[in-house]
Amino acid sequence: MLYQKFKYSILIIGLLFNLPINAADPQIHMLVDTCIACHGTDGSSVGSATPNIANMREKLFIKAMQDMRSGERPSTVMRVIAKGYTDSEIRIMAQFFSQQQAIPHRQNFDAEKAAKGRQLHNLYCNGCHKIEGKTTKLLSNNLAGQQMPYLRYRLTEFINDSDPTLSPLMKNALKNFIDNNSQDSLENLIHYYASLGGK
Amino acid sequence: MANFTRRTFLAVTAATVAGFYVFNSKTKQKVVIIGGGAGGVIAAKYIRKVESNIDVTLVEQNQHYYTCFMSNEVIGGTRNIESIKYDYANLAKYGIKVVYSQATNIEADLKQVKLQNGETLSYDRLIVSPGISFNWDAIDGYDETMIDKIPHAWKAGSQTTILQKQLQAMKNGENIIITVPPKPFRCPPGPYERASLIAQYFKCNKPKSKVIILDSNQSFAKQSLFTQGWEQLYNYGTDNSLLEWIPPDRGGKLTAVDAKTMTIHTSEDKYTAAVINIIPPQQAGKIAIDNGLTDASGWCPIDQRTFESSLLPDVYVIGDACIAGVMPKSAYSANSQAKVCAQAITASLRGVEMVNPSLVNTCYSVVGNEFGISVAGVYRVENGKILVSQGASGSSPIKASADYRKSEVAYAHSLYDNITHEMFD
Repeated sequence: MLYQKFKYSILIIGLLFNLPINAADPQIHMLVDTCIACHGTDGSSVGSATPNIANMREKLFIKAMQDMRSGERPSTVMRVIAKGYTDSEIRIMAQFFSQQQAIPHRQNFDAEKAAKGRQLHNLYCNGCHKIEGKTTKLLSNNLAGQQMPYLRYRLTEFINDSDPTLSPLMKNALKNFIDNNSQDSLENLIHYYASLGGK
Repeated sequence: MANFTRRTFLAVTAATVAGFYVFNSKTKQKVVIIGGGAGGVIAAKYIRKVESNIDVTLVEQNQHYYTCFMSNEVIGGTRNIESIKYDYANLAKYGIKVVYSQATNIEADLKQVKLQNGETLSYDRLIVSPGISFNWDAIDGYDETMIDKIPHAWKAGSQTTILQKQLQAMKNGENIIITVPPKPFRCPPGPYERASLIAQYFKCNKPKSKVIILDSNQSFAKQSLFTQGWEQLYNYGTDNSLLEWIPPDRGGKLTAVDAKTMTIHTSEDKYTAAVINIIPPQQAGKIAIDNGLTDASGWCPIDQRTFESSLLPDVYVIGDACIAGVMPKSAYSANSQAKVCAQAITASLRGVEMVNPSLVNTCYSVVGNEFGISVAGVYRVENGKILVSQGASGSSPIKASADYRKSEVAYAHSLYDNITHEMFD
């Protein structure tokens, strides 16, 4: 009861000062603030390898947590951490991060590779992973400005078939990409996504 | 606003009254924070983030902060000391006042803190985040006056540099001893990470030298993973091992130090080395001990839900100094505790109940440039105790590919960049 009142008063204060409502909900922050020291402020990582989770699709966030919790999807610390939250807590976190604007961190990329990667992206990836505007595919990750080492790890997992949770759609798309392009091409793609980071 | 009920109306009225109280500058509430480390800085920032009308003052004795985390990479020569050096200049952006002085007296009955510079700061709530202090009486023949010759390097900065320079000055074939104090101490895997990165330095630069770990504990954090790394990278367990680990049952427990002859006496033996790194037995930071915040264990008992001291009202203790249930003493723990404490304090100043705490620890150790290991845990409070949430606690798998181990080094550095960005940017 007290908590309900508190929530309401926070909501009103939030409205008065024109804050996004989430920004003042203590229960949401109690959960999501634990992620920040690894994933960066509101999910935008300045670290070289931790993926950005700001602006991550809600459904994808939930699936990622569930797949890492079950151990189906390979991961390092997240296979442990994902176990600590209930489904409803994961939903709260997913909603919060999906509403955060991704602030990409500037990375060292090769402009030439990025230019080649851009063409490849438009040809092979843009159908699902739209760079401009949100895709209708609810499980497609936002790749613009994503960390290069992270992209390499994930793509290696996909190629080595070590992630059984990979969607058949992505699996086929990747196979199609690899069959028609050289090994360097994947690296070009990665440089392209890195190039979409901060200035 | 379709569901604008009577209850909501009452809440709005309550909020308006509360808002007047909180936002009226004459009654501006004050939080003072002692200690600008992984706990204190985050607590300051998050209190201001939740409630920008609270007056927050951080008391810190040093102008610069060197992170203990990643300082082992400096000792091992793979990182520059400048890369772990930070200052508090950006905190002003968040409306946090920084006073560079040492807090000496907490006058809980008057709700004020006395500083060495003569200032007295009054508070509504006080956070003490002092880290650790060393129990200098515990080791026969070693005390604070000897740390230039025999460094502890367990608080980063000049001590880190001293140890690193001593290693560089060693001759190939000379040894280093690291002594590990009884648990609990700051950064449980730290001594073994340090030993690993020194072994890595020896491997490249002084292949006839050796690290000898004299341990007061029979087992240690991430032991099987460290052992695997040592076997793979440093010939551990063979005659050419760059590392030796001697637990108490094999005479590893330190009993006395002879600084003149650079000799360590243990229960069963004595060891001599060109360089000695004594990690002394630890307790809560001095301010906590001097002001009655510690119990017989030397650490600070707290309400594990709010981090309020069990011994002094309206004083909160976070980070290495507090007894936080099953959470280890790490930077990530301190960071997470600071956020919970910030919520507890803002809720208490608003006169409302805080929400259920949720805490995390994540801790990486770099065993070699391409061999990282981790431990992580999620915690919540049950029956007044911080416990592991739903079994979410564990370390890296013992069976893992070389790529996996390599990726954990990248994630370790990434965590470092994000946690320091959160603190100082």
